[in-house]
Amino acid sequence: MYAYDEYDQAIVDQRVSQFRDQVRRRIAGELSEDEFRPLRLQNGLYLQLHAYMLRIAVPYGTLSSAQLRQLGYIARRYDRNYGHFTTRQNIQFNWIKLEETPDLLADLARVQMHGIQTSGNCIRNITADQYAGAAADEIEDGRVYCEIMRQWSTFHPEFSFLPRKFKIALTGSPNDRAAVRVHDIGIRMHRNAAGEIGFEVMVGGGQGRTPMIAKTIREFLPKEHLLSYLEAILRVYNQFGRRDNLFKARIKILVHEIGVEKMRAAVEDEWQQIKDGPLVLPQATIDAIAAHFAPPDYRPQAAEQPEVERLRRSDGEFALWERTNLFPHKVPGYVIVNASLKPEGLAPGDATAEQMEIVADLADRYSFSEVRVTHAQNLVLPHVAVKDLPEVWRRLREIGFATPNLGLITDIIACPGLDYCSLANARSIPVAQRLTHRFSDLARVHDIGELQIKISGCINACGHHHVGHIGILGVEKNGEEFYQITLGGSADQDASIGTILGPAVSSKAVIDAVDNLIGTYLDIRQGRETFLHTVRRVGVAPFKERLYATA
Amino acid sequence: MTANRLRDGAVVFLKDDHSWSENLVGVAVANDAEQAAALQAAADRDVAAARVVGAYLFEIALENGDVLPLRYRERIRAFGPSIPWDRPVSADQLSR
Ligand code: HEM
Ligand code: SF4
Repeated sequence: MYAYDEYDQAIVDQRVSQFRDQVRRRIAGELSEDEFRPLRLQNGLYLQLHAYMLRIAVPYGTLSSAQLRQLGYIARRYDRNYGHFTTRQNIQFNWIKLEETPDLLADLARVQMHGIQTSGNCIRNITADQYAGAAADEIEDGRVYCEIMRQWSTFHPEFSFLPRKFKIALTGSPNDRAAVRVHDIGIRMHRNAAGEIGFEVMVGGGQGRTPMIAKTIREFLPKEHLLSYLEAILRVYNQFGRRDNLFKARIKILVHEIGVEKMRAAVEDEWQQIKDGPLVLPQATIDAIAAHFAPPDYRPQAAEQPEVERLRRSDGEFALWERTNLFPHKVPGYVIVNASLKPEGLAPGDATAEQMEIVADLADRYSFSEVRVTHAQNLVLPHVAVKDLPEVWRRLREIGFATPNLGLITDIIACPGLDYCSLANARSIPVAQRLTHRFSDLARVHDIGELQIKISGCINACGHHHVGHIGILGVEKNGEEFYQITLGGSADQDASIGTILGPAVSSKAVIDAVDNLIGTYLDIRQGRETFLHTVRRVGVAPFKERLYATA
Repeated sequence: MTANRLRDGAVVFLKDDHSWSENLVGVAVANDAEQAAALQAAADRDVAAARVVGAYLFEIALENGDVLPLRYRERIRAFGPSIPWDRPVSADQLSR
């Protein structure tokens, strides 16, 4: 894992003491809210519906067990004993007191964490494939480049006041688990015809009120030019991005308005001027960062694991869990284990202090002290030996994190919605909870197969509804909660924006509506076709007809 | 009239004596524009004095003398999330 050097630690510590002073002045009335707001936001502190909310970055989704344990401590000491993992590989605490925030940030800095780059019009916390460094299907560990970008982007003077926030995601695998095509810049590592590894760069993706899929601006970028090319994109954006209209300020609007060809030409112009300058990444620099992500000390594993075999045959639930919640590891004898934070009836992505601590303990014992956070709001133990699976499964089951539902209908993404968020139109979490009750029969859940439901409480789309196979968007109609349903969205390598089905349905009807869509799918699917494939094959019409026929 | 208390962010409501309460019992109610302006002025003074932030008026109904916010948003603000949200720490965890 990347460990802070003295420079990193010093700036984070300095931030904490600055903020301590700012909070003191605010409480003493020396700073007005208008003066103070940007200062607190720079440290990830929002004022939400019920209290202050602190957003903490988990860079590229990688946590050490010590960091996770500290988050558990913070949940208990400063919050109401739980936190919420978000779709941007952050964690949010919902019940924070302003006067305690400086102490909290000091406790966080002790484990090299902070809320910097989680707010404001800067380059936000960079997200990545949660399986990076472990997945069998990856080309290279993308976190190395995420860390390089993190160092380049943190407090970058030129890019601290962009027209709007800026989100970058990177995948080192052809199977995109980081939703790179719905980010301002998406980066995909791949091999060119000559067999060299480099980056495909995509630009102008996003969600919010104008969802867009990013367009490829460069097919292949050699590694050494990563920063200079990004800097060129950011400069073009900084110069031409619209600052006159908040709703048109994201880079996606710029790319849409001038077209990807013009964008490419402008970036190319800028790039030629800085390409061979100080931003070139020498291999030695890359190697130095990569050393921080050196593989753990894997042990040779026996090919046969009789105890695992036995459990697989004797316990159907374990077998089901193995089928859905594991992912192939690049090292034989190891697997990637997903802890599902989607138990029936609870808020997607919520974890209590005890749960965090137990996952941290499991990581220490069984996963080289590493944990990952996913954009689907789950946790991951990235390097578990197959022989340890029974024990890991039992412990996860004890804390409710072993529901065998990864990637299935109850693995729902939901934003905080009206229960916590001051921008919301409707609640998200209760809809997710009701859906998990409706689809509580595991056999049925597995029969329905791969399906992503994503729920947002307003058009900002923090819950990714535009790219849900089934998307649910909360709207307010005459003071009542209604939900607009979209079909056919996807956030992976074949990303697409969902199509709105028709008029929004009432809160009461929304669960039946989803059930109705599933009924249509089960009736018309061909063979083992997934829900998304069915929607892509037949379009939304059959779903729409049946849904609104009964209404 | 509601706001968040500056120090801890708690949701608070203005009472007739211009103190702030964490619940809706006995809160000040404005029946016309003039009374509303008076409440706003009182709240603004506390905003300026760095006691509360983001003060605003919201619509309510009176049911058997109890104040009930009209909009769903304000109800959640007043009564807490509609889902379990308080997960108290047990004594044994505190001692750890
Ligand atoms: C509760 C406080 C939050 C506030 C005030 C907030 C605000 C916003 C706003 C205003 C946008 C629209 C940006 C735009 O279109 O330019 C947005 C987008 C987004 N937010 Fe949030 N959000 C909050 C919580 C969250 C949470 C909890 C998550 C993760 C679960 C999240 C993840 C995202 C994502 C993924 C997007 C869409 C991507 C994009 O920027 O295009 N946000 N948020
Ligand atoms: S989508 Fe809307 S309701 Fe949900 S967290 Fe984002 S801003 Fe809040």
